[in-house]
Order: sequence, then structure tokens, then C-alpha cells
Amino acid sequence: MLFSSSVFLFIFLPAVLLGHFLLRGQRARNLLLLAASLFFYAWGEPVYVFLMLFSICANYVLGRGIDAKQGRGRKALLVLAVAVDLGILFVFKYLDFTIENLNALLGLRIAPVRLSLPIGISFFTFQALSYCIDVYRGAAEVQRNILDLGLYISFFPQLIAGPIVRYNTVAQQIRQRTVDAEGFQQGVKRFIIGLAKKILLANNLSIAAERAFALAGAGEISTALAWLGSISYTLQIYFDFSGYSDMAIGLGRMFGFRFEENFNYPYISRSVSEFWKRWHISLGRWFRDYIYFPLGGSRVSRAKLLRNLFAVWLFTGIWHGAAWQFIVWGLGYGVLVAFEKLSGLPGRLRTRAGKGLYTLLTLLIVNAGWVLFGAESFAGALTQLGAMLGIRAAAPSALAGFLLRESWVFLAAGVLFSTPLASRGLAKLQAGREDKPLLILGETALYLLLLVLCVSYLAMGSHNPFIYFNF
Amino acid sequence: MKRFFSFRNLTALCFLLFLLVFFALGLKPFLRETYYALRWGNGAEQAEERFDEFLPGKEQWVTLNGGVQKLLGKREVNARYLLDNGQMTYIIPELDMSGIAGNTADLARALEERDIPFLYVNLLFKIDGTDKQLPAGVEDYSNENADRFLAILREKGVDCLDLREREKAEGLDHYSRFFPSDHHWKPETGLWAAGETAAALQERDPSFAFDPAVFDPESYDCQRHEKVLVGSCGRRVGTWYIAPDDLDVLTPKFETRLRFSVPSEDLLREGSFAETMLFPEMLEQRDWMNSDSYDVYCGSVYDHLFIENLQGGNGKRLLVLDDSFSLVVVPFFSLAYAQVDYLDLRLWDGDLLGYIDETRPDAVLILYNPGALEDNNLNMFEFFR
Repeated sequence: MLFSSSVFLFIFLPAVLLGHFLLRGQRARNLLLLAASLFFYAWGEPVYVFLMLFSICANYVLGRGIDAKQGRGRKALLVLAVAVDLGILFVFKYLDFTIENLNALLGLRIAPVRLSLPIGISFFTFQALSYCIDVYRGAAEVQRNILDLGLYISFFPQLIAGPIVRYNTVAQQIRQRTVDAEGFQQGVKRFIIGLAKKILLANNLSIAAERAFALAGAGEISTALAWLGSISYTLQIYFDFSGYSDMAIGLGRMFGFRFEENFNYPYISRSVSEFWKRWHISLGRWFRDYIYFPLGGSRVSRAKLLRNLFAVWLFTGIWHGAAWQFIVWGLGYGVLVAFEKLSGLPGRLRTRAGKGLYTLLTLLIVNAGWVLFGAESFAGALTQLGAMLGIRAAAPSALAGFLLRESWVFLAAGVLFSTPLASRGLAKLQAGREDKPLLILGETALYLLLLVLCVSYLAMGSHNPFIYFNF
Repeated sequence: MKRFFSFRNLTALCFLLFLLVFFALGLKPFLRETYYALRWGNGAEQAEERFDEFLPGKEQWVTLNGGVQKLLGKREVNARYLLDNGQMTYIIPELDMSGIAGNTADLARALEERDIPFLYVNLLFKIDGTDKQLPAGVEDYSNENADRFLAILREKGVDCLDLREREKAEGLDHYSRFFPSDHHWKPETGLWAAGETAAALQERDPSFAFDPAVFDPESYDCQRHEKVLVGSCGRRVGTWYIAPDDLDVLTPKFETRLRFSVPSEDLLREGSFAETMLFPEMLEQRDWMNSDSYDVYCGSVYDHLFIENLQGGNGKRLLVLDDSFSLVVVPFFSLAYAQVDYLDLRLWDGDLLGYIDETRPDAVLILYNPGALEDNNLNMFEFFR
């Protein structure tokens, strides 16, 4: 069940909201949210919901054990917890990839297991890991109520596409939180914005992006289409992913939770390092807190710094999918971030032109990175990147012109809304006038218009891709 | 809930009301479709798809969206394309024809062994191969696929009739013979196709001679029903994007007496053309999202439709494998013969050769449009299952 589906919007969400408002007391509400979350997961994954239940039980028992033990026993239990969580992730996500590579490398003939990938496994596994590590470090109190831990791991708003909520940021909210009218309203607005990003922008931008990837996969893409496809995908993945995060944050807010932000206008970044501080922030923070800092962070020798960066970016690549293109994509960013750290760029640039050029270069690198990320295959990515540079590009065809004519409105809107210009303008308009009836009416009309447009696309049954199946 | 009634929180209140109204309207269809999906062993995905079909106000939502798409000047909407002439269609990619052509040749051979004449009739597709009318950059290969498919059949000695060639030879205007909002052709075109097919049979075997008045448009009364047809493309984009079409109902001026039966649905009708072939109630339905006034002919697509001409026709018994284009061919074609069996292999899952051996028709025909020559319709070419 996707947030951008009519069953979620018209059946699941109102039912859960209704139940949440009718119930009194945190315990009852948590129980309702846990049951709803398990139903939400079981709806799409009727078998793998048992895997999630296993993960909840295992992490509960291990967390209690870690809390109760001291010294080496405590550490051993943490190692066990990490092994269990990563073991689950490895078996379901990376086992076949490992087998295929071992077969290729050693000439073996081990048959792949071909398990389907449970949706959101990378998200809920990382959340479970965060819980055990936080308890081990004493950064959070152990959860004595398995139902509350179950809610943390399976809570439906962030279950299938994040953000990755670290346990110590929500432990208190699971125990005690309030739902007030203002918070609920903020949640509703955020949810509608996220829905509009996903349905109105990302889904429409995906059409040109998918055509380009398909043609590049077949080895016959023109330069114009390669560019149009890559730019469309760059905007699509931002509005899709940040749209999901907005919906998750908004839904959380409706139920009284405050999740951390996951995106902060990444495409206005002035460097690759800054881009990763603005893109999928929750994943970056997870790697920072649980891998980079424990390895010593940046306050180490140059060699160790490079090792730490290599580890973080290797894991970042692998986390996004079990394929070499993701590993290359992740390591590529590792090299670029290391380059910026060691060279001091772009901070050492003194002129505005130099800084501007570096910003443009950052955007081009990110754009090329998304081609590698979204392509059907490594070869397809190389074909498209080559075509963008005019290398072995197919003859110009009218398709790029057609797709541009079809999607220019969405491209223009995408460019505008991927900068803070629109939200700054809106904030300026509202400043000091929040209680003016005309403004409230206008704002309500705007949000309802977005909602109505989104529903019309859902009713149409138009293209509604889910791009996180690798995660 | 009381605190939400503050004017400041109007957006939240409207959102809640919006969800609750749709929840109240949608809960029943949701529970019903989920129950059926689970009962038939289909997953949640199926339940969601079915729920989407019964979404409250679906027709209005689609209409609104179509209006927005029109405003944006879009020509590709919901996998349908607006042609230069204002009509709509879907497109077919370039596909390998060797498999389905081989199957068809195998069927022809099996029939030859049984001494039963066989004719493959290639109907028309919405897109004219010599005047595609598609937006620049959009390619359709339905006609090219059909060309390659027919070339393989002819190479293998299978008897074919290509109605595209007949249309060109007669200088007929292709697009005016189709509904703008649908990918299907008009009843008048169905009557023409029936006549061409019958003529081809007669040409090959004079014993298939028929009364030429049967396929003469002058032999029919025509009643035009204005703006009653929202075709398969129109249903996907709404009536603000493309206007509903007029539909002509043709009824013979000559006397007819027929028996129309669908064994799987226990449907049996006997009487004149109008009493058996026509389902006028389909024109009265205004719910264009869930009904199709094209079904005024024959009522629906069936797995097996059996029509007997109680006046005897030319005495011949035929077996026809067809697709939805035949809805407006069947009523007219059947008038020339003693009886015709129509099987739609997308729905009928019996033993075809066993059925042929059992019924021993005087000829077997396949009437497929070039759009049927695609992957999704492969079961239409599974003749030996």
C-alpha cells in the first residue's frame, strides 16, 4: 500500500485517524498504531510481516539483554544484535548478489536463492540496529514494552521509504506525546505537499526519465533525450523521495510525532559534501553516528580519514541496492567527498564566478550520479552518460522534442520547487498575516486544490511508479 | 475534535471531512473487493486495482483530470495518444511475430489435414499505416507488425485476407470509419468488413455464395444516437479531453430470424435481428465509466457465442476466432450463413481442435485486428492448449 494510493488515502488513513481520535490514553493509541502498521505491512507483504515480527521480538530480547548485562557480555549481545539485523538484511538483500559474484570470481555454480526483497527492509533494519546501539551506548533507555518497540520499528509512516528514525530521537515521543490542532494542521499541510510532490511532479517527470533509461538500455539514445531523461530523473527522484518523506513527516505529525527533516533543498548545494548534508539526511546521520564517528570521524590521520570515508560511502552505495552500479555510485561520492575534504574546495575559491562554476559542477555530478543510480544496468548508464557527452549517441529523433513538449510544465515547476524560492515567497506573503481570514481561506483553497488534483490523478489510474524496491 | 473547529485550522478540518466522506462512500466497495480478491486467491494488489475502478466519483475525477491535461496541451495521457486529427488511440511497439505466426501456420496445417478451409483475416487498426497522424516522435508498429506477420503466414502457404489492402483499393477514408474516442471501428465499418470477408470466402469457394443484399448498407435502417459512446480511450481521459461519439444502430430492412446463444451465460435469444443481436439498454446507461454503449451490438464480448440463422442463409457452418472488433461484425456476418460459432480465445479455454473435430465446420476463420498481435494477447494464438 503506497501513500499515493486510493486505498491508503480513502480507507486506511481515515480509519486510523478516526481510531486515534476516538481512543483515549497513550497505551491504547500506541496499540492502535502498531496494529495499523502491521496491517499496513501485511497488506503488501503477507508473508514478510512475520519477518518483521521476528525482527521486533529479537531486538526486544537482545535490547533487554544488552541493558541487563555489563562488560563483555553486553558487548557480545550487541554484536549478536548487529549480526541478527545485518544477517536478515544480508540474506534477503545481498545473498544472491554475493553468490553471483562468487560464482563469477571463483567459477562456482552455486544456485541463487531468489528470495523476493521485503519492502522497506533497509529502513526497518537500520531502525532496529539504531535501537540496540543506542541502548548499548546508554543514549536511550531500554524499551520494556515490546509493543512500543514494535511501534518504533514498524510505524507505517516511515516504514517503506523512511526517513530512518534513530531510536533516541523518538523514544520519549512513543511514551508521551500530544496531538494538538496546530500540529495536526501542520501535519495535514505537509502530507498534502508530499502527496503533490509525488503525484503531480515525480510521476509526471518519470515518463521522460523511464523512456530515456529504456532507450539507453537498448543502446540507442540521442544526446538530447539523454539529457532530458537525466534531468527528468534528477527531479523525479528528488520529488518522489522528498515527497514520501514529507508525507511521512506529515503523517507522524498528525499522530503527534515529530520526525527529523530528511531533505533540505539538496539541488542548491554548492559542493558534493553539502549535497549529502541536504539529501536523505536521516541516512547520512545514521552512518555518521553509527559508523563514521565510531571509526574516529575526521579527527584522525589522513589515512584513517580516507578509510573512514571509504567505509561510509561503500555502505551508502550498498545500502541503496545489491548491484555494482550502486557500489560504484556510492564509492564515486566517497572519492568526491574525500577530494573536497583534502583539497579544501570549494571553500578555497575566492571569486563568485569560481564558486558559481563549482555549484554548477556539483549539480552536473549529481545529475550524472542519478543516471548511474537509475539506469536499468551499468551498461545502460554508461550509454546514457556517453550520449550526454555526444559519445556514440544515436541520431537525433523527434522523441526528445515530444517528451519535452509533454513535460515542460513539470520540468519548470520541478526546477522552481527544488529551490526555496517558492516557500520563501509564501512565507513572506504570510508573515504577520497568519490570522487574516482571506489568507486562511486562500491557503485552504490552495491545499484543497492540490489534494483534488492528486486524487484526480489517482482516479485516472495514471503512471504511479514505486522506486524504492531496491532499498 | 472540538478544537479543530477553529477557523485557523480550516485546512485540517476540510482535509478530515474530505477523507471521511470518501471513507464512508468507499468502505463498502473496499470490503467487497478485498473479500473477492482474498476469496479468489488474488493479492492485495488486485483488491487495490478493483477498488480504484469503483472509486467514488471516478467518472468526475477522470473528467477533471482530462480537463487539466487538455489545459496543459498534453497529447499523451494515461498511455493513450491524441492524433493530429483529434482522434485517440494506443500504440503498439515493434514485436517479434515469428512465434504467433508459427502457431497460426500450425493451426492452418492441422485444419488442412482435416480438409477444412482456413482464412486469416487481418482487420484494420486505428492507426493507418500510411497516414499515422501521431505526434512527431511517437512511433506505432501495429501495421509493420501485421505486415511481417502476414508475410510469414503467406510464406508458409496460409491463406490470408488483408482488409487494409481492400480499404486502400476501395479508396475509403480510414479514420472516419473509427470512433474518435475509441480504438474500435464503427458498425458501418463492421458491416463492410463482414461483406469483404464473405466475398473472400465466396471467391475461394463458390459454394460460399451469399445474398449480396445482406452486406449492402442500403439494406439497413440507420438510427443515430448522439453522444452516447465514450470509447476505450475516452474512458481513460474523460469527456473534457475528448467528446463522446455518436453511435449508429443499423437494423436490416429485410426479414431476419435468428437464434443467439451464449452457453457460458445461459443466454438464449430467438427472434429478429433487433430482438437477438441488439441490446438497446446499453444505450440508456449513462455511467460511461462502467458501461459501454458499443455493446449495443451483441451485449458484450463472450467466450463462446453461437448464432444460428433460422432462415438458413447459404447453408454453411463457420467457426470464427475473433476479438472485440467483431462485436460489430458478428451481427451482419451471421446473416449470410446457416450458423456461426464465435470463440474469443482470451476468454475461452477449451480444446480448440477437439471442438473443431466435434462440430466439423465448413470453414474456420480468424478475424484479428493488428493490435491483437502483441505479447499481452498471446493466448489468442495458443491454439493447441
